[in-house]
Amino acid sequence: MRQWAVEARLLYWSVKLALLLLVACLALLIGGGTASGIQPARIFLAWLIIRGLLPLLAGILAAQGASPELVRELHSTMPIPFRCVLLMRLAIIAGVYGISVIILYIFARLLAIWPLAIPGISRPLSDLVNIIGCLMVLGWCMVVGWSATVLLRSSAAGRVLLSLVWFCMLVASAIAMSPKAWWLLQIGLLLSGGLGLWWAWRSLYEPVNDWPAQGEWE
Amino acid sequence: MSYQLAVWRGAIRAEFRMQIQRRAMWFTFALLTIVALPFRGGLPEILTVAPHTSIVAVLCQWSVLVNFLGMIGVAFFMADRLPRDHIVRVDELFASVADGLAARLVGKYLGGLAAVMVPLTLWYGCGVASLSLHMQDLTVIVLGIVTYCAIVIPGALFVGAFSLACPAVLWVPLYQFLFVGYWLWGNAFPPYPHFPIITLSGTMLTPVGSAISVGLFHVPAFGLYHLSLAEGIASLCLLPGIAIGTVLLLTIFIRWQMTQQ
Repeated sequence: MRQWAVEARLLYWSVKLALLLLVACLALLIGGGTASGIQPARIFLAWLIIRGLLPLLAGILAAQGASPELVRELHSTMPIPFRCVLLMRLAIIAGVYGISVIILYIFARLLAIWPLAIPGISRPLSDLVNIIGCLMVLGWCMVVGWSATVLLRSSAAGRVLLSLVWFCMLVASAIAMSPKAWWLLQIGLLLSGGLGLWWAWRSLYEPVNDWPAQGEWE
Repeated sequence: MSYQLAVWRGAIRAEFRMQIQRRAMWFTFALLTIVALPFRGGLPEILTVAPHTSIVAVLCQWSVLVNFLGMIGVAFFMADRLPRDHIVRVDELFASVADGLAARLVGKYLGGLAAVMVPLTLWYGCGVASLSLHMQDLTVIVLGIVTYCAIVIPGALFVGAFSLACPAVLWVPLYQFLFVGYWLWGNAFPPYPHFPIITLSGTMLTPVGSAISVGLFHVPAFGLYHLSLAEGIASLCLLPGIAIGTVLLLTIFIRWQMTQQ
């Protein structure tokens, strides 16, 4: 429990940023006005924030949490394995940003600016599936940033790759409007995220002498 | 003056070596090259359309694509250069022994940027060489150098300068998040009337090179179709000009920061 508190304190800025962003996004969505000319922009913004910007920020912060540390050797002498510490950080960021996504989704639905309804599924269930879809995108971005940083031993490289696949995912999300494409995308995210996590987790069992790579203090 | 020059040369050499030895950077650009293949304007597409369209149009498409994807790498690998000095505690050492702050910062900027441009240039060069071989035409290489100097270099100078300067006041992950947001909003979105959100895209301040591509070469990019030659030239001059101004401002800011300590 103590380790959780320490990690939460270390991630103070990540948590604070989530709160600030949440307030800013809510202000933007609520205060944007309801004129018919503004409505398409609000719908697009809500989609971009919930399915794009929040997952990207969470992914970048997850990559930061897994970045090479000067005290890596000290970590390896502690009773809690370093890989567990890294997972703890991932879980804290996932918790904070997951709650933010759910709050924003609820507000977007209340303001009637959420563009996606899943055809063939009744309203409450459709919302649940939509929330799970948004959380899946969030989790996937975090896993990609985290895994790429662990595998490449560089958070800058992890974040570049995250930004790139995030952009591809955003385009795919915008295109995948039919139910079949939507489900295929979710399965693709789940499989690729699971594979990345497993691969990165396995690499953390390797000896520490080449970790972090030279010149990667960030 | 010779002391400043020595500091400048030393900083360029050190930064270049430090950056070029980052295996992660090479690996990332290798992945970028692979990911870029299916994009519009990617290598398979330009090789297919090259015989049926003008070479300049194909090269502009290629330059804009390399800029669009590659500059994310340039920005992220440049962003950690200044905070690194603080983390490994050499900034205090520099402050205590050297008087060449401006020379050191300019050296850091040019050295770091030159190193990160090596894989990007190789990637760009591979595309131009493939096109030249495919078309059996050596003028493609000459035109490739022209589009590289006109589209890629100004964008890199602009992005590199901001990526070096902004982390002096912003937390690096926050800067990188804002950069990706800006890159999408200010470069990839179509210009405003065609899109519901007001954007910088299509103006002279688009480092992705769409304004230069349309203004100078009359090749549409990212939803921008019409721009005058004067606006294209203005964009070409503005981007490096702003980069120089940014590095200058960074020097003033760090000098002020040092006097406050």
